[in-house]
Amino acid sequence: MTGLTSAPEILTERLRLRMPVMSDFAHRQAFYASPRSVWEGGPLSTRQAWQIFASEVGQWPLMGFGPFSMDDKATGAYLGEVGVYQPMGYPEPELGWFVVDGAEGKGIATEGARAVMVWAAKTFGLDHIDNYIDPGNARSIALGLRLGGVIVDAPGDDPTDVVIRHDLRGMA
Amino acid sequence: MTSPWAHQLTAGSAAQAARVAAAVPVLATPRLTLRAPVLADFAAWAEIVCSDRGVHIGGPFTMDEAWDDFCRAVAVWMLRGHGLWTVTAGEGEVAGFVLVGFEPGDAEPELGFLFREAYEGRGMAFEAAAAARDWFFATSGYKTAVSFTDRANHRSHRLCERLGGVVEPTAPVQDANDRFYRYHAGGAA
Repeated sequence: MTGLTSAPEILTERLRLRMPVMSDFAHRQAFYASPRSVWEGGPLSTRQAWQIFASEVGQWPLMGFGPFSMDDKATGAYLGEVGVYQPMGYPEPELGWFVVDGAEGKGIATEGARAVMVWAAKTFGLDHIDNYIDPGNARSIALGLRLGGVIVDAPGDDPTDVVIRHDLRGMA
Repeated sequence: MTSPWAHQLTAGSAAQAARVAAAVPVLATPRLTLRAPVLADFAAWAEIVCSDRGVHIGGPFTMDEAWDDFCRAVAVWMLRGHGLWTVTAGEGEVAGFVLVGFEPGDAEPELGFLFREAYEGRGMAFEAAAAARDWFFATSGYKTAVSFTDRANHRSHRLCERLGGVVEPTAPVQDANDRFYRYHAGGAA
């Protein structure tokens, strides 16, 4: 295999969204090993982090959606991940994001998530997509609301999840 | 609750999946085709690993566990350039799966095989695994690969030996019940 040249890629003002590669795992592993992962079920071991990362990446060739890795378009630096996720237990494809420690507070996740919402609306014809967020994860909840989402009474991954719904109609 | 594997893919989603999966090589043997897994193949995967046949690989697994494992095995293509093939026979029926995998904790790439009961005993697993082994050694630059098999899985031992695997009794295994086989490029049967 020489590369996934036909796989989707999205360019935004500051970001390049591309298929994940092996070296991206080091960032997810570091995140899951750190206290920052407390709202994502962490801290987790390397093996546990791999179980999550790889199962999400494998959704691409099976379901046609999954995580995009986000690079700084100008420097090529890895900044995080944003995408459409449906691991086991998720009632619907979910909009999710992850930003490396040094890239928070710069609107990176916002910019990436907006691009993915447009892509999902155009590609799949979805009329909505939800975030499933731990009620303690105030930063992610604020981001979901800032993106225009509204909190709805719908099932998430965990019964206590805050479910934020984004209306994708008109984005396609 | 609807499970991921039970979702009907939209046309857009199926097209995106096909674009990504197009990078997986298709291998043909006299009786079999090795191709990129698709969502519908999960039924055959689950039939194997969620049944008593899954006992030799740490199962039987639940459908949820099986789904995550299936996704992970497929993901290796994107992350490492080798991974899981669906093996089809005849008119395209799924006979089983062959994997060149690599997970954290593995010391080197691992050759694995899972076949449905109805397709056992006809040399199909050997035919498919040999094609995967040959492709891997020819394209990857790796000179060795390994298999871990349950000590009680005698059918699997015979297959590993037929594939040119040599038992290394002192090699480290993650599960004390595993038997360790190593394959060498060019040394295959």
